[in-house]
Amino acid sequence: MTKTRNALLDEADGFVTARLAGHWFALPISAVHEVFLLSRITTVPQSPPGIIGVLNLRGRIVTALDTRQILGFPRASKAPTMAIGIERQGELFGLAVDEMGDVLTSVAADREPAPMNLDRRWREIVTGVQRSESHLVLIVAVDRLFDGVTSLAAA
Amino acid sequence: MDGIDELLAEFITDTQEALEQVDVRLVELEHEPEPASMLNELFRLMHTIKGTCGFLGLPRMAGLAHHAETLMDRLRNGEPVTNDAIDAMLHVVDRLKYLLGAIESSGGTEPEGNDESIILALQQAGSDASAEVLHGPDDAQPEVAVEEEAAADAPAPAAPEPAAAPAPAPKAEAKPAPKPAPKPAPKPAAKADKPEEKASGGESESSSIRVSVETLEHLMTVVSELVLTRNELTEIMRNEERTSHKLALQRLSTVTGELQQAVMSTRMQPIGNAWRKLPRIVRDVAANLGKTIELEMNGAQTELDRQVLESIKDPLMHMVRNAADHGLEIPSERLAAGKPEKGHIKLNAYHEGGQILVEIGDDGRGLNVDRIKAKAVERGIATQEDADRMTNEQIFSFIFEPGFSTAAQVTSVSGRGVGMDVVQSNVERIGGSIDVRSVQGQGSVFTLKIPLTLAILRALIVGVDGEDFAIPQTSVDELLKVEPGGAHSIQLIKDSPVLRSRDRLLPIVDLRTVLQLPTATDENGMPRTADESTEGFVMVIRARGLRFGMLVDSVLRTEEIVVKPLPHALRNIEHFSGSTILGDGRVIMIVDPNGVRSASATPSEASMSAAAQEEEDAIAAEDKQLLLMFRAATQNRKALPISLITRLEDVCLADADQSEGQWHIQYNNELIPLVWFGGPPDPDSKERKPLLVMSDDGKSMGLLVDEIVDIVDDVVDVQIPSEQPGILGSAIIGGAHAEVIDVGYFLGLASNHWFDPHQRVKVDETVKILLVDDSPFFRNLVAPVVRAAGFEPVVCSSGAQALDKLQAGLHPKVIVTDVDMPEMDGFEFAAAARKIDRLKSVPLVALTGMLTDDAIAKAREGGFSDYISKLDRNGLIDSLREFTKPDAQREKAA
Repeated sequence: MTKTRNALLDEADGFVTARLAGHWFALPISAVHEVFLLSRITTVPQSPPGIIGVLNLRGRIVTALDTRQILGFPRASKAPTMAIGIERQGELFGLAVDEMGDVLTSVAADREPAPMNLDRRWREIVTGVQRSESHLVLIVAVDRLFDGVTSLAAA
Repeated sequence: MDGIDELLAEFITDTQEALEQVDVRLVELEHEPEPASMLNELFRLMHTIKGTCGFLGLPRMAGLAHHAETLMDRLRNGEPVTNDAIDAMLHVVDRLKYLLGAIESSGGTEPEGNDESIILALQQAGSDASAEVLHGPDDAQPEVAVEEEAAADAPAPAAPEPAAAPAPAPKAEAKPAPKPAPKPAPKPAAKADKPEEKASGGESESSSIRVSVETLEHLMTVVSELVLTRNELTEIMRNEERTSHKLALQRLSTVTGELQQAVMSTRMQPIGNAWRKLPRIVRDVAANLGKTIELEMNGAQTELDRQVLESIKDPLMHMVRNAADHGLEIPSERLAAGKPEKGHIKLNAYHEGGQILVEIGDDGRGLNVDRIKAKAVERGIATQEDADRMTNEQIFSFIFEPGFSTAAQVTSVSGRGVGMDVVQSNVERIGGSIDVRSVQGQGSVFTLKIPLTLAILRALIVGVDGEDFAIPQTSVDELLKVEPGGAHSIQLIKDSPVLRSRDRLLPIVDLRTVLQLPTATDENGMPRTADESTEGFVMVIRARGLRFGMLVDSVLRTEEIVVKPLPHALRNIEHFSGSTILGDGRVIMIVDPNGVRSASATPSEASMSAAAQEEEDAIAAEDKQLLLMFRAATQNRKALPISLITRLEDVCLADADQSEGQWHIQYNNELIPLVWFGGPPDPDSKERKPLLVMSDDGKSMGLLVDEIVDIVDDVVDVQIPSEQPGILGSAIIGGAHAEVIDVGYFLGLASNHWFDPHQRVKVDETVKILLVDDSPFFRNLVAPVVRAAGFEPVVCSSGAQALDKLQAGLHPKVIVTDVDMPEMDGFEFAAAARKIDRLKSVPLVALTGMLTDDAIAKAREGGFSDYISKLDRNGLIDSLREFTKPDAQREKAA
């Protein structure tokens, strides 16, 4: 594993990984604003699906997104506690996840394209699959994920 | 005058700025190897200055700018950039600055003098072959000594302009060598100008600077965050004992407050800025329409947030234009009305209760309540019934409906029905409101209530269903505690919660229901409504002319909140106008009263609650009944017991089916027959009309009317019988005359599938029925029923008249007569009729108001075949059918 790692490290991309409904997802570090605790969420009556609510992150209003719902997973047994903060068009969003994982450093060579038979909704979001020791990590294109959010909200 | 000053001040600031740029660019130009874009910019700057000066009537400045522009044009078209040229330009800049200063100190007039020397230099610059070429086809000497002055400026030396000016002859242009001035004049000249400039124009430079709006916005955001952090800290420290921290916090708090104030003040602008264009608009409108109008503006210095100012600029303009156009009459009308010929529009701005109030008043004709009402009904915004119940204030609020215009004529200025709705939405978008007061013939006053700033507002923090919400305090008129047995309690009228407050019935909107909070429904998923047992608080809210109560569980406190825009994904929720962060760090939603109002109240609901109110009253007075008042065919009010009406619908005749003279309309998945008063309606009419759906014996029919007027609770006492079909008679209802409708008549029409009793009924004319009744009311009640049943009624108003007809050869199949008649009563008539031989077998039916055993016995004795109550329409029809059937058979047999 380490043989090419050092040489390629400069070209390697960092990913923030998180577990959601038994799957591991990875988002490019460059896209992640910060990771924070989901607490004191205010639910917004009449809000579109996919939105858990809003919260205050050091004076900024963050829209907490129900990532499970957006990706078509069943509702979790307990409320999510962690979120990945992503800034988009001047607004801060929090993608709720079940658990945060380590930062993954990956080189393009280690990645494989998303399998053909993946659910269409996922195939639009997942750009590649990274093999890890114990599990597969799905690399997520943040922009496309948000397209999913808007289409869900518009529906 | 004020307006001009503002304009001038703006011009001076703008031009000073532009000249600074020209200055800098000119200097840069000297070292610029690729001057094209720079020359373009210079050209543009001079062009702008020229334009504005021309507009403001400043010929000297305009002239200078013009020649400078010409030079720039020549240079950018390829002429070499020479030192001369740059110098000449710099002199122009200096001269323009001087003139600008003089204009500012004189209040708008240019000083005397001329600038021919400078102009000459401009004209000659670049054309002088001997001049040093800075950039040109061959850029040999980029570092030309600047000391080598372009001498052309010599004739314009020091300050006393007028004296120096005449020096260059008009022929100057012709001079081949423009270097006649040996003295190094320009420098001193420029210097000499300087002090003057400082003295006059310098003032504005030092006292204010221009900062980009973006910077201010950012500052505001940061301060808002600071305020929030301070609030949060205060919240945390509330339970803290250590005084040392408290002191520091106190200081922080004060400083933060001051900072907030200071930053806010940078955003403040006098409202006069938004008024600047108004005199011109008024002048134009006046000239256009041949009016004379005086515009008075008070409180122009009242300051408000620039963002707010921007938002109300257009609405203000629109309203002033409206006042000038629709509000004020033409001079002849004014004189006729005993008013001065000159119309008056008054603007007034002032602070009140943390808000800015802007009034736009005129002394014109005022709003025409009737016309607005009629228009509202015509446009289907309100039913006549609703409109008649409304206060003038509510009726005026219709002018804010989209596309609503009562202007009889569309003028070039206004009256196209666009505007007031836009005005309202603009004002509401910034959390303001608009009200109108008007007295017909005396004028109107529009009052804008606008927040001082958009960023911070005072709000009530309320709790519903365990959630907190903020409600802008400016929209809350009153706060009432409701509890069973308390001073105020909620009452239910047909499932609609209402509250009595100051003799007015307030519809209650339960925030829980509007927002569909978890407790809006009970465990079975059924909607839960507030009722008598509800405890909580009702905020009396006025939104768009409608007062309603917003029910919440608790009112926690008032707080100054910093408004945060909602995330995009949540902006479509009309109930909220924004969000805010509370002192404890939680985010809560700011409820938008206008959004709640439009989300919860539909016109039909409004009328429902009106009807419900009447119904409630009816319970109190049981001998009364609820009557729906409406108009149809005529202007008379018509009344119909509400108990007979199944539903009120609003239909468009174009949706009706018409076949064989029979009209049907779709209602509840079935086609029901339509009936109406008077002549048949226009089948192609797109107009929507109220339809009273009535059901009887499982059959429904719809009575088409023109408008619903009211719902009245009264005792029906028919006093004057009516001549008209379908109308029982007249009664005093609700203190005024009204016609009571004969539902049976219409039911008869519909159930027999006849439409217009006078035209389309297939009446068997051989089956004549003689009707004798002295009362026109009952004659008209019975005759149509008879006709509706397919018989030909022959109507007589007295026994004598009937006998005449019979003797003249009339052979009715049945004779129906009233028994109580003057002169010849029913019995006498019957006896007389029986004497006519050929009529011996004709059945005689007695009609009477009293149906007693006695009377029946008497009738039998008198030779009557049947005896029927006047009001028993069906009995009569049955009886007639009975008598005509065997009769007809007998005739056939014969």
